[in-house]
Amino acid sequence: MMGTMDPFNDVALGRQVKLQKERAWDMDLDLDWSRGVDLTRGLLPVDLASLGLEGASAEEVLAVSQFLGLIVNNTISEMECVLDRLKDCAWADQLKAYSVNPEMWDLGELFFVEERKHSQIFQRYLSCFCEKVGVAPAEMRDLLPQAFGARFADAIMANAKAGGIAFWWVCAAVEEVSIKIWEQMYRHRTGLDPLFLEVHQRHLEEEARHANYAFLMLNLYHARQSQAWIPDLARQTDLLLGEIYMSGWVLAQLARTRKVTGLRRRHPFFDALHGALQKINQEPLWRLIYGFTTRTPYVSLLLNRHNHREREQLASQRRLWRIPWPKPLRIDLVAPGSIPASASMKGRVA
Amino acid sequence: MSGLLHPELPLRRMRLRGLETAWLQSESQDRPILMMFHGFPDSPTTWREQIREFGKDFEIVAPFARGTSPSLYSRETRRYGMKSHLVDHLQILRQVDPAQQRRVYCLGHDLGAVHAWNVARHIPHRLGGLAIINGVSLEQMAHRLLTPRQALKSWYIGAFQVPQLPEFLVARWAGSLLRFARRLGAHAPEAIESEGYARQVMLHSLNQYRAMLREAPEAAWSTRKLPRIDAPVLLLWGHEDRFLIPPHHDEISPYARRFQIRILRGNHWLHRDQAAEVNRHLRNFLSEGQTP
Repeated sequence: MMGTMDPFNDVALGRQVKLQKERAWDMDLDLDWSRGVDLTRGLLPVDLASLGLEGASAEEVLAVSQFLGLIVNNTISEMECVLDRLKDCAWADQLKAYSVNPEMWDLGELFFVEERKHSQIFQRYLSCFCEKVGVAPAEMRDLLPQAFGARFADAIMANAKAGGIAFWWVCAAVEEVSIKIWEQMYRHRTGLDPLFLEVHQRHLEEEARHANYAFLMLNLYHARQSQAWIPDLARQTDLLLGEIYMSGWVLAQLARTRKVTGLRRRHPFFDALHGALQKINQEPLWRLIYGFTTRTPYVSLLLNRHNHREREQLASQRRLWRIPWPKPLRIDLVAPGSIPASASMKGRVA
Repeated sequence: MSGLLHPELPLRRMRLRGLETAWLQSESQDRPILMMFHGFPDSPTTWREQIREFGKDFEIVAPFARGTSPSLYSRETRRYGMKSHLVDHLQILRQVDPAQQRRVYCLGHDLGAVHAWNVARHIPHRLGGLAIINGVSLEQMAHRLLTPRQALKSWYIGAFQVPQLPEFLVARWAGSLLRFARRLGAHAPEAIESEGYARQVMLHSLNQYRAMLREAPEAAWSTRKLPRIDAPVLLLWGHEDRFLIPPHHDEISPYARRFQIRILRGNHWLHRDQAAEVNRHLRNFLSEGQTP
């Protein structure tokens, strides 16, 4: 149970450090990049009903599956970049004020090294995908969630510099969600791109080992605060602030998908994606937002706190304020069937 | 007085600058010295778990602070101060190791940490390591008292500055006050701590706080001039300490080049509350210090 990791247990933490170092993978040596991206396969299983894609063509479903995969990748990658920027104020300063043990420091250093590596692996996959569809990675990133320049990153940083831990609450949710995403991918693995699967499998291996670190930091902060004569009331709101920042950011970033219109002629992928997004956007805005929070695959997984079981348990124990999200709705995920390469799917040079 | 003495360690006495001074000392002259400084309201019996653990590997030297019987009390407040204690402790060390060749490890708790830091700084060529348990140096305390949080937690230091009143209360209700102090520190009082014991560890030795407050301004000013300790330093801290806030990493770095902070689950008397854990960390620390 991630939420029960004890930051005072130096023996367990020391073992964890050793395990993570021994089992760390190398991005260049341990992944088979030569297999490339299979554009005939999806990246993530999708639920047609929840996305409003019941009448969509196979190409449109495939494009949405692939695009969702890129969104998930980039979201995690961007979070990991934010994390790197927050290393001093959200982590080092906290540990200096309460240096529980050297093992927490070691584990933390390892955590940041691994997160940096994960960001790189997702960016590398993005480059491979972009090569297949004939666009520069920068053009594709324009459609995908970006943390920097967004108010989310500024708000999280301001909270961290003020001694807040909103960031770690967000991190805990992302860590839990990463693992859930993999579980869903694994169930439908035969229909998904093998390279994407491999990237996420490697990601998961290390996430599963170090997913505890966000919870460790949260538990450490709680232990420290429990000894304070005057409780830090501002920290009661950190989880709520983290949710607000995160939700605002995700919803705002999804608006970037409009830019796909400019790439329609570049490759059938963008054309199909454009068609699918047109169908999705036929929904009224309130239904779209409601859908994002309750049933849209992966988006609702990240936004809706009811999907973050471990984090919820911890938050309930500490009676923290949270957004009263509606309960998530059941969704039925399927992998887009692999379709044979046809003239419509061959790349066209821009 | 029997409650003050450790049954396994002989008691030594010496007249230092006119005052009878006592310490416990094991007889292991071929071993490194482990000098243990107790706090307030305590005596060297506070170290019994550590004495049991390390008695075979080290020569244990555990002084009784000035005013903690059998170390005779003094009517002069300055004899309770850090400087006076330093002179006494260095003389004890000279008595234990006349050749001054053997390696010395210092271990201090609470007010004893002030003495441990002080002795450690004055024997740099022999110091194997310094271990502190829920305690700070005088320089640290001088700075900390300027912060509201620590000033509030150290309310008792202010109370001890009142002339005569603390002595009046201790003389009459020593046992109750000791139990109160233990409970305040989330530590259960022990059977060994009788009324007589309580009087002997509290009545005169509370003058240490009076002397400390007089020396604190100079200590705060002299921080820049003190050399950093080169030997390894270990700080063990019970997270439920109600008297002292945990050390900040940046607070220690002016005083020590190589240090490790470990916060454990436990109270102010961590070495008694979590003796096994403390001993484990001390064992690792002391073993490393002995590695050439």
